[in-house]
Amino acid sequence: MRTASPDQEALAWDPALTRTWERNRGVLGWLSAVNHKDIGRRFIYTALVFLFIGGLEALAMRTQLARASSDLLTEEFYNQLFTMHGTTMMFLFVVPILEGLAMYFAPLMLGARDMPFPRLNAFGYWSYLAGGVFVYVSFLTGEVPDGGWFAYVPLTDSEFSPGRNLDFWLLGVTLVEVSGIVGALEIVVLVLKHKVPGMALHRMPLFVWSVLVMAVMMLIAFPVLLTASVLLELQRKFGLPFYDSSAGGDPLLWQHLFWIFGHPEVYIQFIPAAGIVSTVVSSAARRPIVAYRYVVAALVATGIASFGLWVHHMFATGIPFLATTFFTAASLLIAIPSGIQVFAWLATLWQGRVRWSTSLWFVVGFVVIFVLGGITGVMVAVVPFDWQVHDSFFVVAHFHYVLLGGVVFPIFAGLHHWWPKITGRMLDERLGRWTFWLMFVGFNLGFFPQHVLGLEGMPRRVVTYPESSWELWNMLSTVGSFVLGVGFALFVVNVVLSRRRGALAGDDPWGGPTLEWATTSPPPPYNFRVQPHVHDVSPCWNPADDVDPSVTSLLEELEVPHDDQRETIGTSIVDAEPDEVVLIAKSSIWPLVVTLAIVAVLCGGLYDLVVPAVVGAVGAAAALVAWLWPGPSRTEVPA
Amino acid sequence: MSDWRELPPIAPARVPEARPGGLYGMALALGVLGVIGAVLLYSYAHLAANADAWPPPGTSRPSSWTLLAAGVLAPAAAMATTRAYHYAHADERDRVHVMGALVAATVLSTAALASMGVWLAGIDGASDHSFGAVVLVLGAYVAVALGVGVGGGLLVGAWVALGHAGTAPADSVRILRALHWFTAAAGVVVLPLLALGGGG
Repeated sequence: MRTASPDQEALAWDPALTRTWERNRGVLGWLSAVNHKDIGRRFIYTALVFLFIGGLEALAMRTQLARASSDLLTEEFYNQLFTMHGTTMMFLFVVPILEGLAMYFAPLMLGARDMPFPRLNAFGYWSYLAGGVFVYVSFLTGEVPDGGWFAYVPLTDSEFSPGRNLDFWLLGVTLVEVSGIVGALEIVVLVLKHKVPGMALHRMPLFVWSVLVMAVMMLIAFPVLLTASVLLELQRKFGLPFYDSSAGGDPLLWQHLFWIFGHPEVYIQFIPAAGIVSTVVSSAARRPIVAYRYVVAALVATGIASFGLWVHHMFATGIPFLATTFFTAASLLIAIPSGIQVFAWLATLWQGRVRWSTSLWFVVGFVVIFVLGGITGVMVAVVPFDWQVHDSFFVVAHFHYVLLGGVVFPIFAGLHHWWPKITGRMLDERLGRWTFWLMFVGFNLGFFPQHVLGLEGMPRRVVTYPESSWELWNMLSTVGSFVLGVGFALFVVNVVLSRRRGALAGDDPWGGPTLEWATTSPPPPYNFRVQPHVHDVSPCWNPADDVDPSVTSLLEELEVPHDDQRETIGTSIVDAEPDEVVLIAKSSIWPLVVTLAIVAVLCGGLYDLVVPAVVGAVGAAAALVAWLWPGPSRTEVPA
Repeated sequence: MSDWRELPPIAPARVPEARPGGLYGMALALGVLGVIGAVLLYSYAHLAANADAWPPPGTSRPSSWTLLAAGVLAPAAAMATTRAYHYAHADERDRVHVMGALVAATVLSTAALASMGVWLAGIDGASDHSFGAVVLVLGAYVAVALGVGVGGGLLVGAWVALGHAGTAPADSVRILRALHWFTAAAGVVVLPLLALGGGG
């Protein structure tokens, strides 16, 4: 009889290590899970659910816009839909799924056994889920956020948005931001300290480089929005006039703070997507990526430069001429590191022995769409052009080409590439190619006409429009969006069929170069029985042969768990020399309890209820102490 | 006395020059706190630069003596935590001296927090003008950092007092030391602005 995934015996998992590293049984065990693969999977699956919810919202909007003078949706509901669609895609789908992929695969690629602070990891997931649910609960109370995903003041001030709609948004998004920050912190420490011996910085997989850059950017960008949101909530709740021009405040302060976060956010999404593309390209071409060091430099340069672009979202607000000139130049310059990567991918494919797979098709689709989105990006970086198309459908088309084509296509490339590793079963290639072509054709049919609509003057965020030439382009766009939706649905069908009767994947179905393919599919709870030692950027293709015996004996010592402790190797930052045996925290229910207590505080604040707020605050503090209370430790025992 | 219960070692637990992962985690967390502080300072500067008058005419500020007290007490707490770390890190780990230094650090942090609380309570008209609002949140920012330091001091102190099995405190005290010095540095940057801040 076939099971949902290959069983432990067939995969020859080590019983002692499995006992030490696996999560506890039962519901409580499930709720207490902290292993990076459990948490990574939950991020990925939850984000996919949000993708489909956000997609349904988009289809509702496109249905409304298919015909002129349509009254399918009310103005109020349309405002809520475009707000929730943007919020869902930006905050609840793209970043979380990339974090999920990073949490699942970065430790495997580095040869580590888990993330450095697994309980913090679990807290990150629970607070993401709680934040997403918090925002969506507003549908039940009839107070759905309706101020757009960038929530411009004064529209979102209590004077013009007097209900709780925006409070749901501010508090929920803040919780999701906290989740992002703790996840980013985890990833940085993982990369700094938990690489296996020999995996010096210049041998790290490009996906790991990309999530390292992403995580550092998140640590800088996310606190900006978090602070701005808290200030707006303080204004709405207590009347502190940070953004109120009648009391010395400035609405433009919100725009600055939002886009200081918001523009890097685009690259926070693009950079790990580029890392996925590099991974898929190298595996498909069966050769290391061309110009590895230039690609790393391009990733880092893109991350740094992305913090100098935010004002190009505000060209229409009366920014001084000198500033617009600077930000135009910066916006044009960022095309250079992106171009380096595109050429590196093309050169790798050119020089490799290409094996076509669904994931590579998604990469090809990505390159085509992303280049088009990049070109329109350069167009809107030019101030006079930006003034003409600002807040028009041209901008909607541009950012969907960048974000859907430039990020979601690579995410689907990654999902098709890594799904066998996660589940132990292959996705169907034929269905995968149908998925790709439906998504590619649907996407272009859906969004290319929006360029024309924008150039013809159709503003974004309008519930309807008069009968005109816009109707044809809108109808085409709507048809395309439904074709795109069918593509997404077909992916779900493929996943379900794969779970029921997918071919067994084996350890390495693609002949991949990086360490995630050096363990079973799915990987055991401890990842590697003996953690590997590497001396090449493609350790599966070029295994280490002249290993230092002292390092080998240290790694073999960790093959047996001592005192039932979760042990992994810690190494130095640059050269990855072994310098520590790290004890990893075990499963805990406290991260979930802390999250629930925080939600009680937010609910108390939202409805002006003192008791839940106080109980939640005290409960959070108590649960935090229980969480942090140390277990037995060996980390400070002298040699 | 040396009474940390040690578990049997395997392999080298850590080479002497290596830093614990928790310290990197705390450094990054403090970086996040630093970004939040920078955003608040940027907001202050942006509002000051765009205001007709800053502070607005007729603004009254609470006495600066409490700010001065907080500004002195926060570095003193950090120094006490540094002492605790030296005791905990020494070959002869001495629970009494570690506890004494941690108690001193926590008392000093609490006193600094109380001083900030008194100063914050003296602000009025925060909802009348953005000046009062941004000054209030900057003061609250320092107070929250001090509060986290007090909580951390109590937690680490409890570990030491209860002699939890196998837990030697040097890593924890080291992490607490980073937090206290960050708070002291934040105080040095923010408190003069709160006491003297102008612009516009």
